[in-house]
Amino acid sequence: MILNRGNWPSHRPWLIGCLLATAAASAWIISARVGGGEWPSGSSVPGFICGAAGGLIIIFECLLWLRKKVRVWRVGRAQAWMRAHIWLGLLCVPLLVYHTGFRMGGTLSTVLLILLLVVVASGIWGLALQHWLPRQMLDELPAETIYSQIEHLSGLLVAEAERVVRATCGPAPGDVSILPKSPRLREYGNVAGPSAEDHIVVGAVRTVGRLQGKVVQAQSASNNVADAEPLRTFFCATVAPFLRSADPGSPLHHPTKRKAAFESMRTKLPSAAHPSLNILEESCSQRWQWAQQARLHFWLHNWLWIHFPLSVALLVLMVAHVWVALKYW
Amino acid sequence: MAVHETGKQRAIRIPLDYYKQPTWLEYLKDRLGGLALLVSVGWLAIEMCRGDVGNMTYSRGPVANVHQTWEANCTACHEPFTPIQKDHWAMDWIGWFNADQKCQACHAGPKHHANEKTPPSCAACHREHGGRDASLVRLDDRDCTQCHADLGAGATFGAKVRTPADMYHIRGFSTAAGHGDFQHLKETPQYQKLRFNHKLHMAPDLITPENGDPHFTLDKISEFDRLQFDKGRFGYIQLECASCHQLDSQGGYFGGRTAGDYMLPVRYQAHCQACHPLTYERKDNNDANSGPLAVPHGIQPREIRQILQGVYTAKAFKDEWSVFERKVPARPLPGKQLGDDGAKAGKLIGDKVAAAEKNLYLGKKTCGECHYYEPAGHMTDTKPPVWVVEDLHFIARTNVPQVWFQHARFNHAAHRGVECRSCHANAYARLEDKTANGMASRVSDDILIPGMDICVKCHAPQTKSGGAVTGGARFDCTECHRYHGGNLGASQRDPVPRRGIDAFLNNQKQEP
Repeated sequence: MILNRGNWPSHRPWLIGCLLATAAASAWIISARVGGGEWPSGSSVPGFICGAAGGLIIIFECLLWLRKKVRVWRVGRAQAWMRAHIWLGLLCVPLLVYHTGFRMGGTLSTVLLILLLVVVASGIWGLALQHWLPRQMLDELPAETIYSQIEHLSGLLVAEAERVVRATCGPAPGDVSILPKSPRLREYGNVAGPSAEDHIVVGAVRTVGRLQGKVVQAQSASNNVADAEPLRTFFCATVAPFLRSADPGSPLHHPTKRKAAFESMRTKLPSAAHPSLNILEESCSQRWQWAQQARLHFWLHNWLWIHFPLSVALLVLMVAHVWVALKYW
Repeated sequence: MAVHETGKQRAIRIPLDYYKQPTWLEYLKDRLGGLALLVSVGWLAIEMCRGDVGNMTYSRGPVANVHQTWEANCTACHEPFTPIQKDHWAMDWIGWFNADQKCQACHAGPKHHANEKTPPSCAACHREHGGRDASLVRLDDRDCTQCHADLGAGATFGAKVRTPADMYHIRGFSTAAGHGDFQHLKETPQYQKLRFNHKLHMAPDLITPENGDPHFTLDKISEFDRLQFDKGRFGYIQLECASCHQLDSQGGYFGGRTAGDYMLPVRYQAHCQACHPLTYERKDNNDANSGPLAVPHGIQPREIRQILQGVYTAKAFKDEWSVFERKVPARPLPGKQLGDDGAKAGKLIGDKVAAAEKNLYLGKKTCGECHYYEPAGHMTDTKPPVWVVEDLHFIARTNVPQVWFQHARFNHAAHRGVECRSCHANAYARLEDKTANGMASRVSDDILIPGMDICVKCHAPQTKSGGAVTGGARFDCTECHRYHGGNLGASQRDPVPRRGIDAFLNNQKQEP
């Protein structure tokens, strides 16, 4: 969820509410401190209320997982849940710190406090990433696709590129396809070589003004261009591996080096083969964008490896803490 | 084989249910969540299996050193699902309280005052789980001022009230905070019956403008006592504070108070007798070096008279012992009288006793130099009762308090870095600059125990003025006062039934 000027009106009540609640709790705690000579403990009235409120907030925070898991469970809008998750999660920090009476206490209470702070910090980190990274992806990765399908689509890119190379350079000796044998790519395999009437549909990125979109582009296959064998060599040695795995060590990974490599190939190939080379370059560009997308997607979601498990631990240990605290208060 | 691919065909390259398959990111997240669940539940289970030792995991903090033995045994102090403080807000819902009895298994915790309206629970003031080095007795002033800030509300005054009115609203240790001056300054002069001149005794060589030079040299006292008083110019007797005031360094003299708290009582035999013997005459009136005859200290004139009569009677008949061998009839025979010798001896003895009494207590010398007399007698059973005087010269009790602060603690050893003069200035004949002290005490009505104005020079918030520092020592209530059992030592104020080691460690009652 992004906090921006557009959706700020929906966040403002939450912010105001959290600030008011924090101020009220602070005033109560401080007045108890002044009157009692020490910070009120967790079992005092203000400490207990803050602890109970914080605990209920934690339970609510954990319910977001359930709300997302059971999508048909339409109890409020998902956006509203996320807003509540963010603001109440921030609110529970001062409440629970007040509940501690600014004392670390024993082992369990110390672990709980640390877990709480790490969970909230990871949540804030994730929220911040969700503000920066999507915009970065939107600006820099117009060829963005579905993250889980990148591997599959990369295979399709390799198949398409191979068809282009076959059409341009003709069948190679032995004519062994370099495509992986997967059911989904079977229809693209074993291509004997297109005829002049065949068209190749290649995904391409079109930019019109500030709008970018991905369109499919039908191109005529360049047919058996003479002296185009270097293209095949280049494809097999460099382009195909990059399209498959986008290895950061490949010379095509860096945009500047990629451009230089293809420029160099243009000087080695006849001009009739240049359209095919352009298609390969476009494919490499798409693959690079997918690689960047995967990296950003990783950073956009890996904070959950900390946030979610520690939240589970926090919930379990909180239940234990409540039980023991009420047993020996 | 040529491949024709339409836009729709291209679009369905991606399966429509792709979202149902979790990515490796989500997969790993769920696995880590399950792992976290296992780890946290497993940890709790392990601690539960460890029994009492595992309970320490759930503790809200380490207990003080004095309770460390029971740290793993929560039920040694806590009653399950019951607040440990009886004035806890949740007691309205729980309504049953037993935790104080847990404390009283080891601590008697005697009552603070008979007039206390609502004694707080143990845990209301003695807050545990504050760490190993936390003190359970150094409490915040608020624990005391909750009653003493408005004593009228915190106490029932059905019993006789001795607390003066200026002590009803105490909020701290200063006159501004309502802490009046010390009680002894107001009460002691009324009942003290001892004459003592500090100025004379502390003057260099015992020379004062009022008394002149007594020429009191060491040769005038016994050889045994000379070492104790040889502090002045050669041959002259010079007294100092420690000549008479000695610290109770062993402890235990004052009913269990801590060693070093107070000075031992001044005793005639140890501190006065060397210079003030109760002499009534010499052993041999014809020999100036025969040594004095003295009566013992601490007895009344009636008993002194009996002693004198016995002494002189023995002297009188020392060479006429045969007188005691004559049979004396129960009553004189008709026409017969006591022998003239007996009558003369009786008169002689009587005269000698009278002369000795005159020296001892019938004047202002000897006994009268320090003591007051008051008539002693009894009330008759008649109606109305009549006071019958039995003894005009009954020596009154001195009533000098052995412990001046009955409701506070003071430790001289803790103040050993400060010289006596700083607090007891008027006990000295001279000031620090050797000039005469115009305020030096000459009468016992002067109470030389300092008041609060001396204490607050150190026991107040620290301030700096012109480079000089004042205050800085602790001035909280518990620095000087205790709640339970007055200001006695722990064994005196907190008697509890003793138990065997096992019962003690497990907080169990001792089996008879």
